[in-house]
Amino acid sequence: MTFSVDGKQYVAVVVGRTVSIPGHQSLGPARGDDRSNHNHHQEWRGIAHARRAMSELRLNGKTITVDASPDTPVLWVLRDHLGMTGTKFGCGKALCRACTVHLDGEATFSCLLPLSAATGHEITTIEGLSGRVAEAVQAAWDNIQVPQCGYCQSGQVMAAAALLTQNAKPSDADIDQAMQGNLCRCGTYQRIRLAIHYAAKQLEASA
Amino acid sequence: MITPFDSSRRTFLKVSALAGGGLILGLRLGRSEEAAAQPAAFEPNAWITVYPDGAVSLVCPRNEMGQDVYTSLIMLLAEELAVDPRQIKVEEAAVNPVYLNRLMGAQITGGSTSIRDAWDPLRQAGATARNMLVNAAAAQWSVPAAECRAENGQVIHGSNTLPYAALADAAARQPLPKDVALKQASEFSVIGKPLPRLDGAGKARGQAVFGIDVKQPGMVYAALAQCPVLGGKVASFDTGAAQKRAGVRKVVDIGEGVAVIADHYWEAHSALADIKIQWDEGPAAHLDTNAIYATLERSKDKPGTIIKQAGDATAALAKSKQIKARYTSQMLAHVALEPLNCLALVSANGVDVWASTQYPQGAQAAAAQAAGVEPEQVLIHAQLIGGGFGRRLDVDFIRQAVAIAKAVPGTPVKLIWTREDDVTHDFPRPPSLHLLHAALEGGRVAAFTHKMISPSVTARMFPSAVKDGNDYFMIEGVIDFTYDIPNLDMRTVIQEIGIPVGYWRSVSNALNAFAIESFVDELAHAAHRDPVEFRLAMLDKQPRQRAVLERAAKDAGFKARAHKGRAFGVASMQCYDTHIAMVAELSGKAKKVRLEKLTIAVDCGIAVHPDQVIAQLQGGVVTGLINALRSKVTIKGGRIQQSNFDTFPIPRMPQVPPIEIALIPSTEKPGGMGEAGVPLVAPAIANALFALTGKRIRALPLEDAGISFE
Repeated sequence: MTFSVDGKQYVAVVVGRTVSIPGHQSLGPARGDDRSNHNHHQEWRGIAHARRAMSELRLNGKTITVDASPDTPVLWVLRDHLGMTGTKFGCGKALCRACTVHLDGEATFSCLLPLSAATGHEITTIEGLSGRVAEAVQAAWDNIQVPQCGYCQSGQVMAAAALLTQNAKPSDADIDQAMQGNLCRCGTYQRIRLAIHYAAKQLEASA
Repeated sequence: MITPFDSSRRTFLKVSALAGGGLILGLRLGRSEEAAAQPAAFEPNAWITVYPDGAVSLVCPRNEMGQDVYTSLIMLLAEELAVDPRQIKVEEAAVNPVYLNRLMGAQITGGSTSIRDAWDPLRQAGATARNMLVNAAAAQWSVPAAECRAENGQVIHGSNTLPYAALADAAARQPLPKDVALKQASEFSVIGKPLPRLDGAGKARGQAVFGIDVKQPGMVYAALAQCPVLGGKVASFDTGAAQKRAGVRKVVDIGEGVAVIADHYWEAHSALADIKIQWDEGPAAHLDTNAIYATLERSKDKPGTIIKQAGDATAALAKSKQIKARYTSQMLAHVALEPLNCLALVSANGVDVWASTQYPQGAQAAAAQAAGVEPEQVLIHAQLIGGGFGRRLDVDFIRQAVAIAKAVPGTPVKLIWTREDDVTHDFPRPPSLHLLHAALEGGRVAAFTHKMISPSVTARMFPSAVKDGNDYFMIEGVIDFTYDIPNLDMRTVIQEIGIPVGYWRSVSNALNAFAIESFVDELAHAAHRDPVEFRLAMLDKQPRQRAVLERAAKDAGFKARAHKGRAFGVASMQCYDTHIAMVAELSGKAKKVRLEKLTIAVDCGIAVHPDQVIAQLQGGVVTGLINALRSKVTIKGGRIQQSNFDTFPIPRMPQVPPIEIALIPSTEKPGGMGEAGVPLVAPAIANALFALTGKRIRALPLEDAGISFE
């Protein structure tokens, strides 16, 4: 899948359970300690003119039509054009993953994913998340009492559901690998880890 | 306890019947003489509403930002009202003096005060309502009220029961009881017991509505370009092609920036790129981080304000060999995950503001000023907060949204900041410089002095609260100093630095605890004593503090000396009426270390909602790691150099160590828990680093000293 930001072409590559964008900053094991003082601010604002157009989108099992500029990130199509605010804006740079959705079943960020690149793919948001794994994850979130402010939790739940769909019995290292992109400013990480293990156990017991 | 503002207020209760039946219990907080002089103005501000259909609602006077007020404050009420807290509907408070936080002197959520402030009045409100419901039932049955009891939303007498719903109307006509007795701790059935957070399930399902999620009919969006230099203003601008873009409605100059209003957020955001702005950068344009610390340094000989004194520290220091140290803390960004945003509607009727704010009263004043109306014409609709950490005590984004919305009267406008806006236009945590001196005698501390030099947040936000150079929020971590030392001299010096600074979760507790608890560790090593034993020897008069310190050390398996590449560091303090001790365990070598574990013992008095006390500590530690390890805000040319989570990193899941927590049972009044987990993380880790490597680091963040944490 290719898309452009600032006139630069990017290729989104699905690697295992994480999506990386070559040419963009590393989204890998994020220590987040890039000490460089690049001001991404200006770069991000230099987007070429775009006009609205009708686009088709596969969203939560339905085909819908959106009248938006094709460069509009899916995040804003969801939140603003469609009024689906369960998916959250956190950083606009794929650094916090509050905007995590499922793209063809893979957890990915929606803040850098242009509408034009999403056409032809199946998008699932927290509003459309359903099924056995999703229910187990959300029940685990309830049981372990994960959320504090709760703002990142849509993204955390989406990432956890994708992880458990692909790996029914993740180790701590697997959880670290799959969840390290998702920031929680409140610091609910211990409980997220516990809830994922708990959901895995519940799923195993009910299998 | 922090009481910088007028706290000489008393609680009054008032009941009234609901139109259509039902009971409202109003609780008025105000001066007694005002209430006596103006009984007619005695509004029935509802705290509790018992509806005829049996529903019970409570107005939550504090804002929910993750710290659990929507559940723990409800528990206080439910305990005495004898209802299942899960049946209570929570409503956010409007701006009204009745909802004032008595510990803060304003309608503010902060300072870890919510439970401490509400502990008595909300339980009294619940008990009063229950008492009246019982009296109404007793009257109906013609039995003595003393023979009736309330339980689970109904009144019971023998085999007779009446639900509150059937009694609400009659209860409202009962006389207001005086001196209702509150339950003893042994009688609690809600307080201290497990309960799922009332706001938890919606948050796991994307259903919680935060400020940024609020919708209004006809709503449009705004994006704002602000001067890259803090405090700068628009000199001139050229809208270029911005106004020709799809969806763009208007370009607005609000003085502190240029905004684009558009049908959709992405259209507004993208159009900013077309606008060329000349800035009047203002006086901060030549400021950088080094100059800021040099400014603090130049104030080191100022006498400052005396916060705490005992004996004669100067004389005691002159008699012995002095141990001296100089500590610094860095500036920090708040980076709440919900970017700052505000929805504002300016119309002929007044102003409506929907916002995530910790300070609704300040939001109202700022909105009124921006719109040119009276505060009474502004309605603040406070929303769930996607992270506060003190940033949402400031109301700059609310002022901006109203100024922008004023340009399109009758149209609701939602201003959304980018993450870059948030970091580059934060009010950073104040930088601080700490000068410490001590003298040892016979292995004990004979004299201890501390001078903290820092800009004052309070002087900017609440100038009248700073008296005689004393900012009550700068003395945190000092005023509750627990160690028994015969000669003591603790001072603060307010030194402004040329940019505005803001309250950051745990405020000066984190600054002062790093300096003081690190220095106490230096003294322990200078005295050749075990750092835990050394501290315990100064805590004879502090049994609660001793207990948490002993417990944390025991649970952690604390050892004073490094062993097999592992080492421990300890720190201990009282803050927010809570006693806490923390032990950090590190492994590794000189330059590359691993944080293995943090062990905490806490005595916060009665833990109203114990699971969420634990949650606040777990989360507080993560905020403490931001302070301790590597994050910092630096300034160059008046610009904050960081801009997003790449340049201002916060901990990710793999970077957070196991955290073990012991909650000491207590029947003392509740202490604050929203911030207590933050301050000790840095000194505990710094002290462990010394034990591991022999290197004493006296500046935050620790990684600036060339150490890398795995």
